[in-house]
Amino acid sequence: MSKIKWQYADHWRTDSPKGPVNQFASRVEMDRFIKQIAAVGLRGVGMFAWNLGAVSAMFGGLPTYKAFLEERGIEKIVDLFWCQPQASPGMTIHNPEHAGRVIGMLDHFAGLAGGLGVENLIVMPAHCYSDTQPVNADRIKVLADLWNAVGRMSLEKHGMKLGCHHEFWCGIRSQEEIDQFYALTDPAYVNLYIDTAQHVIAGVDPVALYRQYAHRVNGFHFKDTRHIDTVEDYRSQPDPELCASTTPRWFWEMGTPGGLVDFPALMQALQENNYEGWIGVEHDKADIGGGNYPESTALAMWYAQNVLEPIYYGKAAA
Amino acid sequence: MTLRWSYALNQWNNGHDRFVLREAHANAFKTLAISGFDALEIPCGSGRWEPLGRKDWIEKFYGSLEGLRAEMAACGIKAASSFIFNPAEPIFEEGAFGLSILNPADHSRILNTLRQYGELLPALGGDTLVLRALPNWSEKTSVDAATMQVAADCWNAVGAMLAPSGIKLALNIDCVTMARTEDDIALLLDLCDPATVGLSLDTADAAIMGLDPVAMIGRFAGRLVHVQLKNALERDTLNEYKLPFPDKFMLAGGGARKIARWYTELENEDGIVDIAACHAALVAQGYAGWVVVESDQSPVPATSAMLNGWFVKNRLKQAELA
Repeated sequence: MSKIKWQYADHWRTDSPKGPVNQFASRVEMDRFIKQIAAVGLRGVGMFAWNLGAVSAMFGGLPTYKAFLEERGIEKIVDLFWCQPQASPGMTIHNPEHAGRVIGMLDHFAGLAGGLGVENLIVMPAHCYSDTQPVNADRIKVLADLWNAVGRMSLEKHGMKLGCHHEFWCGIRSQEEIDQFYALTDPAYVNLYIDTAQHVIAGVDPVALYRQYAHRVNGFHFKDTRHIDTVEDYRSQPDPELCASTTPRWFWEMGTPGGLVDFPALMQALQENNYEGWIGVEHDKADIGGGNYPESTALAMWYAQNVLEPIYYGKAAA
Repeated sequence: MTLRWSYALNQWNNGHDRFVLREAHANAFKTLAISGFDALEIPCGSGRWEPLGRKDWIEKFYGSLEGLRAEMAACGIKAASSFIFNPAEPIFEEGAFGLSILNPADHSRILNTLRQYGELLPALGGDTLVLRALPNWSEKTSVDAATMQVAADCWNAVGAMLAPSGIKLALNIDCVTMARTEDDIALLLDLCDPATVGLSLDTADAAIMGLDPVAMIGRFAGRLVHVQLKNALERDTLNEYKLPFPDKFMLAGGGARKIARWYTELENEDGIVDIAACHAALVAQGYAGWVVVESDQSPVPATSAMLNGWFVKNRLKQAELA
């Protein structure tokens, strides 16, 4: 059995006579999506937590959806992802008075997925940087307390490991902020979920980050970027992933020309640390500028199987 | 014995500016490889319209045939199973703007154009040259023995020329050619040398014409040397193959019914070709030629390759093993 398995992280959109549609439009679209990712060697899916309801309605229940996946070569939903990019008066993550709402919402989503074998609950641990400011020790402590509580609930009640996913525009984004956060969180309940492109854009080396926190890493989003944010694009309003001053497209598939993520080095680090489990492949906004999700996914999986797996399994050409 | 699978590159080339960069070639090769295909079919052609269609253009891009073979191999593609040639397409390098197999004066030019594939195909690991056997339907020509003999004379000469290189010819009848029935096709085939010239069956085009591809696999078993396996969504019930420029006005423009897409992926639930039955018939008769999966008119080539790859691996190859 493979020590690593590849899963696909939900972002998908293709052209249709009705304009762009995603896999949640119909069972036909879901069937096409799942067969495409299965065809290129992916064996799991990550899902946005808020899509569970639509999928359940589409299939008459999530266990039926799991059977649908298995019939097409996909083992299961591996991760649930949740974030709230902007703060609001009713839900501000770093407001201790709102902690119960955050915990309750995530308890609800994790409960929906009960019995499906979902392994990880992945969250963006703060709002966008502008809405989290001032990012200081007190604020990071509040966030650490929240995620300690969520992680305990998630693991002990639902059997899911909490992983924190740090967007380049998240309130906890720099090496210093990340170090403060993990120093204040409980390794038993709060894990690091590494998104390779997001860290590179933020000026954080994902290989070094993995080596530093290998014992707390519960998964990855493997995607590439051609840009490092050197002009504080992470503060862009209203959405730094879409409205930055320096590039219209931050994210690219693994193996892209000019990509800045050192995937071979990361794969070597995984091998040296005996990492076993799922690796996520993600293509966020792959169709900006004329690209498309299917081709990005095919190219990424070609790279994963032909370049990265030989490194991990010690079969790389000399 | 399992079938030999390949995939047609033509779905990627929708215009003179879509498939020009080497990065675009590599992306297509990698997409096919990761989708489970290790051979591909290349259209013959001219200049920027078909960058891989001729030896001189392959050399412009890759330095040599070996250069292209190496690039394909680096991406996981072992061979170019076949090239496909249409005499009516322009060949700018040779000052040809539409040759006709029915014009004996064009035959020597067709032979000269095709001579290069005697070197090109073996160098890329292939062995089959697919030929658009006949021109479009026309009021001025008919499928009779004399007319078919003119075509057969040229294809027999091409076959004899390329046979020493180990190349077999496959005559392809698409849905807008002048041959409209199995008997039309048989008339031409019977005039061609079985040792060097066989039939290429396109399952979707046959269905669009109102023919039964499964029945054709049975009838032409002894002459079938190449299959383009694809599905179709509509039949040509209005006989629009008779339109002028039917490749444009019928196949691209959709004809009077404004058909959005004639061809589709193998498993499409609205498809009119029984792909599983075609496949079973090929397996049952021990078919030894290439099965080239094709999806021209694909709106998203990667999607077509991935869906077809899933279906071939999980349904057709599983059936071969059963």
